[in-house]
Amino acid sequence: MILLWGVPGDGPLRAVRDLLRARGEPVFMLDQHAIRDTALELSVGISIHGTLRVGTDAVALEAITAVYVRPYDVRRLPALAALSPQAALRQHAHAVDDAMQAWTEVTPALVVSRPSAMASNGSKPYQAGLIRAAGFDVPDTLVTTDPTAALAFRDRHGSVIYKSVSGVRSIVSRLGPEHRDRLGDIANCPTQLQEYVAGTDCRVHVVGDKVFASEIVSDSDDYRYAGRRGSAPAIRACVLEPALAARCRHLAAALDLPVAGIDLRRTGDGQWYCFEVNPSPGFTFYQEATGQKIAESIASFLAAGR
Amino acid sequence: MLVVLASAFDEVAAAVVAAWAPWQAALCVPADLSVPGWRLRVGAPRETVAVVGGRVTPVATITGVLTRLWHVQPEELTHIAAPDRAYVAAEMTAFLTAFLCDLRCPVLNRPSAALLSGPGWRPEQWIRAAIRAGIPVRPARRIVRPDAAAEHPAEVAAELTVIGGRVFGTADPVLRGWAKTLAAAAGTGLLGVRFARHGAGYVVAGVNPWPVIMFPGGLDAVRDALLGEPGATVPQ
Repeated sequence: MILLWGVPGDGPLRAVRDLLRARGEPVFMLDQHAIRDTALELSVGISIHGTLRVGTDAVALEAITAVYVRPYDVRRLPALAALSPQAALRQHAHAVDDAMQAWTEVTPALVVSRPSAMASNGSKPYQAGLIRAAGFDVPDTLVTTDPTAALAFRDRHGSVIYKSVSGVRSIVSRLGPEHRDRLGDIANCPTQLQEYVAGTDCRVHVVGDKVFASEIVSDSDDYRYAGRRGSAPAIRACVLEPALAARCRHLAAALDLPVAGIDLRRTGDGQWYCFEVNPSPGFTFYQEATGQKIAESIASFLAAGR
Repeated sequence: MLVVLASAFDEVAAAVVAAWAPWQAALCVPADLSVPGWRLRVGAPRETVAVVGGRVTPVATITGVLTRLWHVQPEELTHIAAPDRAYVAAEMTAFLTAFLCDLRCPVLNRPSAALLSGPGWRPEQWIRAAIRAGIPVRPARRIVRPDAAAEHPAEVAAELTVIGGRVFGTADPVLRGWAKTLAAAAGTGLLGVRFARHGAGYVVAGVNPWPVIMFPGGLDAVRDALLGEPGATVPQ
């Protein structure tokens, strides 16, 4: 049995679910929208067993061979939006989430991916250290509350970008003269500055031992938001040289991520930098543009289980 | 300098800093992250600069850190505009993760990506770690239903506290050995290990990742572990 955990409208989850069902693979959907009807019993000792129920459907945890973990933040579930923090349903949703996370950490099933492995993306400078340790170059990065240090860093590199330190998504932006008056605000909160590296973006999806690379051509500092500025990025499939593909596999494995989205950039002189690793990539954006069979690869990977 | 990283509302942390005054202890609270001076450059840990108690502090002068903070809470950041507090708290937490992981000095407990103090394991993960280490356990059980009544914590017969290489709470060599083994398996220098009765013996029933340290000998053991003194093995 393959367990899918998330909401049915999530693009990657839906793509994988549809493929698994089309193949006739046994699938159990833990739909977070059905939180009122969800129950879990879990026992962890020498054996790990229990039962997950959603409405009238139930599955024995020990029968699950693979899990695709794509849950939404419980606090943002529509069913809970109007409820107070003390509301019983909200507390139940958190209890289910916590119990599921506990089980995904200890189950012998294939988990794509365990929460503890995904957590590295919650601190970008921490993850950058892991990326360096795995053998990739990362742009020179400074996190500071010191405006003077920030200016010195910019002067050293000529051009720098700033982006969030945490996993909270932010638009990557270039630090320009228009920010001079606001630079003092850096003192309020550690701010991440990164050497600007000119080049061509490449998103690499690693699925087990398979590697799918997409080249992105965009004149925006953050191509994910280029469409808002009226110039959608051009995305096309590309092939990595074998040594680089092997490094990507190694990086995903070093982070304990069976599926990963790796953000690379190739400079004009052929040097590769790694910016970050997304532990639960929204691969459908790239799949739709390139025709790469990423969902199919994930479905096969889950079906093979462990 | 010994640094205690804690909430501004943590009275124990304030007492620890007072007791460690001869060792130049200082309190670092979330509001210190809104003072100019912090610097962390990826891949260059010796260049790191902290701000402790409002004072700019090169990281080389820090000899040990006791972390009593799991996350930065938005409620601590009253100097930040209310709509921005949650975001700033997340940014500060992420920064501290990188800062603490980069430190070369002893840190109790060294953070993980999930938590600013310790591995952030759930009860089930501690039970599995104990099993892997050959320690008998009582299984961890949960029942989560919309109508489920609150579960009552199981009875604990003994709680031992591991601090560095020392164990407090019992003279029983078997329990002392199990507690040390479990703490070492988790890479934690500070851990409370709870045991329940099972027949004539004991089993691990759970842990306390944030044990009481204000007892005779406890605070000295933490200090010794942070200073790296003999007998105090601090996992890195």
